[in-house]
Amino acid sequence: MDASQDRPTPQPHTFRLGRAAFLALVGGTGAALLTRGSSLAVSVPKISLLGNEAVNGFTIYTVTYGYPAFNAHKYRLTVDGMVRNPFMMTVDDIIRHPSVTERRFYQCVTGWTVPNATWTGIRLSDLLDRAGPHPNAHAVKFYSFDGVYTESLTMPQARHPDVLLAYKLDHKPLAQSQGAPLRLVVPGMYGYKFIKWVNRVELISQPIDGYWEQNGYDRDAYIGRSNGY
Amino acid sequence: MDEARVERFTRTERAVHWVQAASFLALLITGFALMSPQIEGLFGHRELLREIHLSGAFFLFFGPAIVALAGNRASVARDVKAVDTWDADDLRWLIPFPVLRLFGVSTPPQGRFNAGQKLNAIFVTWSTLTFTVTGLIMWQNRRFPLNLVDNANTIHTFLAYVALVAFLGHISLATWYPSTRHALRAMVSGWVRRDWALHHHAKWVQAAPAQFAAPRYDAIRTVIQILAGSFAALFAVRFLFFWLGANTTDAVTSWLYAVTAWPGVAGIIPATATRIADWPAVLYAILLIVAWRLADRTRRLVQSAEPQATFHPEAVSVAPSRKT
Repeated sequence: MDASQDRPTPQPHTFRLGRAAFLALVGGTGAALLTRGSSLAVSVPKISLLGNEAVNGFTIYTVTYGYPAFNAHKYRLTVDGMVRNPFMMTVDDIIRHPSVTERRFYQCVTGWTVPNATWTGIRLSDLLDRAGPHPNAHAVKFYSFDGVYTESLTMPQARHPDVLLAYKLDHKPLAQSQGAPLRLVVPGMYGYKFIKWVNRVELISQPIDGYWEQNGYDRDAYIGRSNGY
Repeated sequence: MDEARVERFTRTERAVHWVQAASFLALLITGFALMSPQIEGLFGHRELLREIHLSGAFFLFFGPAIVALAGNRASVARDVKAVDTWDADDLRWLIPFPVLRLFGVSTPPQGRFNAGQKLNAIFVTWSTLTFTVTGLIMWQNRRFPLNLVDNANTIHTFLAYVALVAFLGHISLATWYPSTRHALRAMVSGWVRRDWALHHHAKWVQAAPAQFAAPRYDAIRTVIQILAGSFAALFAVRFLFFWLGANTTDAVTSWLYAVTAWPGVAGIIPATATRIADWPAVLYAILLIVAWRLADRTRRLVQSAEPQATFHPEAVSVAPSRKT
C-alpha cells in the first residue's frame, strides 16, 4: 500500500473510502441534530439500563427495586410536625379537594426534558394553611412510602402557588411508576425534587438534605442555576 | 517459527492511543454515572463527576491531537492514510468468514490495518467529534434552542451505548481473543512477531514497513511542542468560552480562565452569557503556534534502502493458522 508512485507495475485499485464513510456519518449526525420536533427521540429507541424504563418521555428512576404499590383503601396522606392541627387525608379527600391543573416544563438533572407535562393536583399551600404551621416551622419535609426517598423545601418555596401534590399527569391518573397516588411537583426545579409516592408531609424547623442531596446534589435545585450549571 | 520482530507503532502512535484511551475510560465511567442514578449512587458527588467529565472531554478532543502534532507526525499521517485507503481485499474481508469458505475463498490478505480496524478508526473519529459537539451543546444548554439540546442529549446518550459495545469488543479482541491478542504487544512495546504480522497483515509486511528516525534534541523539542501546543489549545478554548459567555462558576471554566490569565489578557471574567471577543488570547495562541513551529522538525519517513516490493500473493506463506 506504500508502493512508490513511479512504479510501472499495475497498482492495485484503491479508493478513498475512509473519508467518504466519515463524511457520510458526520452529515447524517448533523441532519439528526437539526431534526425538528420529537421525531429523533421517537426513532432512537430508549435503551433501558438497569431497569430504567421510559414512559411518555419520562425516564423512570427508583432508588429501591420495583415500584411500591399502594392500597387505595388503606392509603393516608399525613400532614404533621410543627403544626397546630395535624391531619390525615384519604384518596377520596384528596380527589374532592379543589384541584389545580398546570402545564410545566420538566427537566431531569441528567439532561433530558419533557417540555409540556400537564400536572393535576392539590396546592401544597392549601394543606399548609389547613395544618396551621408553627411560627418556627421554616421547612417542609416529604416522605415517600418506598421507605427511602425524602425531600425538603423551604417554607417560601413550599408556599409557591405552583407547587402541587399531583395525582394526574397529562389528564390521566398518575401511573404507579410515576408515583401514584401522589407526587410532589415543584416547577422550575430539577426532577429529583419531584418526590414520588408521597405519604407524609412534615413541617420542620430547617430544611434537610433529601436522598440525592446527601449524595451531593443542591438543595435549591433551580433548573439552570444549581448542580454546577 | 523465528522470533523476528517488525516495528508496528512508533512512540507517538502509542502515546496518542493511550492518551485517548485514558480520557475515554474516564469519560465512559463518569458519563454513565451522570446518566444513571443507580451508578451515581455508588460514587455520589455529582458536581465532581461533572468536572471530571468536562476535563476528560477536553483531553479526549485535544490530547491526541497535541501529542500527534508534537510527536512523530509522519507516522500518524501514515495511519490516517492507511485508514482512508481501501482496496478490494478490504471489502472482501468484510464478507462474513463462513460465506467466504462456502465459495472456497480464504481470508483476503490485509495491509497495515484490516478492514475492521479501519472501520473502528473511522467510528472512533466520528464518535469523538459527535460526542464533543453534542456535549458542548448539552453543557452550554441555555445558549441553544431547546430542540437542539434535546436532540444533542438523545444522540449523546445513544452513542454512549454504541461506544460502550465497541469498547468492550475492542478490549476483548486485544486481551482475550487468542488470534488477535498479540496485537496488544504492538500498542505496548511497539513491535509484533513477524510471523504473526505475516498472517494478519501480509501485504503490510511484504511491502517492507517504513522506518521512522527521530531527529536530534527530540525530547526537548517534544516538551516545547507539547507545552506550546497545549497552551495554544487552551487559549483557543478560552477565546471560544469568552465568546460563548461560558459559565464562570464551573470549576473547569474557572481553571481555564486562571491558567490563561497571562499579561495583557482580559482579567475580567465575563458574566455568564455575556459575549466578549478576547483578542489578546488569539494573539497568544498565534505566538504559541509560531513557537511550536520553531521547535518543530518534522520527522522524515526513512524509506528502506531496497525498492519497495509490491504485493506478491504467491510469496506469502499464509501459514495454516497455527493453533488458532
